[in-house]
Amino acid sequence: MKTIYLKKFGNVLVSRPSGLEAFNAIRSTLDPREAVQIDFEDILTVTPSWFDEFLTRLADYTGGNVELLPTENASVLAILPVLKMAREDDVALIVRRALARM
Amino acid sequence: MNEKSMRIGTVAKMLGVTVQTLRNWDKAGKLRSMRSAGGQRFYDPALVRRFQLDLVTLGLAWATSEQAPDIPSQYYCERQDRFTSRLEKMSVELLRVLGSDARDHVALITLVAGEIGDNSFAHNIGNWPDTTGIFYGYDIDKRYIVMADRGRGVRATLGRVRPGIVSDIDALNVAFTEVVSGRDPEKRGNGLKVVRNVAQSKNIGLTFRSGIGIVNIPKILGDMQITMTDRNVRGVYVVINF
Repeated sequence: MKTIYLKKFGNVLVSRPSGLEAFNAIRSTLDPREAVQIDFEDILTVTPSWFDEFLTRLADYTGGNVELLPTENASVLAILPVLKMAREDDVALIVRRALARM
Repeated sequence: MNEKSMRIGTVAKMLGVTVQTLRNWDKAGKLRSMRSAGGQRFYDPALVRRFQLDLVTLGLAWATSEQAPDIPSQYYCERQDRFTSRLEKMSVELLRVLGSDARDHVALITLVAGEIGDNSFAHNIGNWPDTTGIFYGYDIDKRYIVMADRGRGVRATLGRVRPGIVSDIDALNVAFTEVVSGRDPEKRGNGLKVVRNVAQSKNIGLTFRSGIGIVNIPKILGDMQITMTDRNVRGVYVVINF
């Protein structure tokens, strides 16, 4: 399983265009058939827009084969319940699996 | 009146407000003038400069004035990347002042400011009515952040995908409470719902104005209220207390 360390993109992750840019930057390193996991270590803040864009692209690309590693990051913990409620696609499944483990 | 004192028209231009607004502020004690022997108003330049540095006043002037007022460049983010870099700088300063024990609090303050500032750019791109960019200032000692844009406002941007929205209050209600599950035709996420949850459950206060609608979430844990004001905000005007 491949791990994506979000800290490679900075420790304050803001805006949809920047979330898309981050996805585009790593896409060539991903195999769509391989599962990926997201590591939040050393991130201070990720905003809902950045995360929504990044995770949606990643979920589309991998067919939902994404896991979120457990984290105590306050911004991530604030975003996940709203995403879980708002989405009805692979993103919702990814978030539900993650919340069940945290 | 001495040579250095300023006439009311000069001050109005400097602050980006009308002469009548200055008269009102004078009556309300917000910005006091002095009177010449002939009864003309004039102003102490030092007082005007101090007033100009008041972020709440400056931000509100940016959001409400007919024409974009001159603001110190340190508070103006013309483009998204400038805003993002200043937001990062703010988070570093917050961590330094509030301490590493406050890391979660800093993370959430940054989330709230980051999402709101990002919305200003995302929802007005290519459609700014006059001046692009946002006002973004903060005072860590006084524990507040002020943000404002001269964009189209929440009702106009939401109205494109929800034609049924007829008032600013409806628009704010949808933006802060209704889950938008689809991504198309507009990539409007659910960022303001996250902002609302954070402000309601942590010690972060929020005043968010657009049009004549106003959202208030008290700093000390409390529920959101959406009401009406009597002064129109062109785009969005926000004060975050922490």
